[in-house]
Amino acid sequence: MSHPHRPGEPTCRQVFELLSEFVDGELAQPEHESLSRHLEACPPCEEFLKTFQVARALCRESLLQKMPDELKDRLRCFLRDQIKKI
Amino acid sequence: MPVTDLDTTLVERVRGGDKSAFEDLMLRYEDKVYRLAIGMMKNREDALDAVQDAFLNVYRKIDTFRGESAFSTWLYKIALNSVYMKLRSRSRHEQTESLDDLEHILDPARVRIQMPIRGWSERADDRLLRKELAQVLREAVAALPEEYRIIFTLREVEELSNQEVADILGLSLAATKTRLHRARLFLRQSLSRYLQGNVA
Repeated sequence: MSHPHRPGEPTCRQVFELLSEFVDGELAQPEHESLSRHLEACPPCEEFLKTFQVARALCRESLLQKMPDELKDRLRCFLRDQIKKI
Repeated sequence: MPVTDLDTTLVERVRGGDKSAFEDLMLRYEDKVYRLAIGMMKNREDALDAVQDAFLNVYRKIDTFRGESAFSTWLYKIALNSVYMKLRSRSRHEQTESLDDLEHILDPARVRIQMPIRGWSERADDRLLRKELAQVLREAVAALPEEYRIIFTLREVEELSNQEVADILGLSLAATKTRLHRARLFLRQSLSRYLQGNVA
């Protein structure tokens, strides 16, 4: 995956390596802007970014579970019992 | 009241002997600590053991919390310690894959960047597919080495900052970011493989 890029602008490989810092807003403003320009001009990188974000969102959705109520009850019983002994 | 102020107030009340304040702290953090434990231990009973230990240690050590970091950072450190102690004591401290193997897979410099199939991101929006994809991703997260899984969980699920994650794990910020990026790439790749394998 590569497309012609202007001198001084990131290559597709560099975009790939900086994607996390880009989505986390941790790049310096000039770097962030040059990556944005690359993404606007490079459909494969733009699609890669989309899929990167989709995977992150789906992971969060699938892992964001609550502790089951039955386990919460057992946790409380255990701690009340233990704390009495302290 | 901001999160940290509320935590500080509750901690002060617990130190003063108010047991209901400790229950309030538990209510605020039990789901988070459980997610951390179940993510690392993959078994409800083991996870419960670790959560119980973690909160008991929080109660016992509350006087040693000096407020130099956020209460949540301090609590996560205790919780992680409980998780690792349980893993070690039960000799289940298994790597699903050797770190070297995964380092190879996760090293961005070695990854051949593949052109995504058109519509890949849209396909993932399909409601019928989402359940399947969630399972694929849970398995992929479970396949990550612990060092990556814990960072991914704290950062992406619990939404802590990179700096907080680095502080909790005692890692440099650069190492934290590198592992997070590799984990994200690995999970994206897992989803991509699954979707490409299911293209009609």
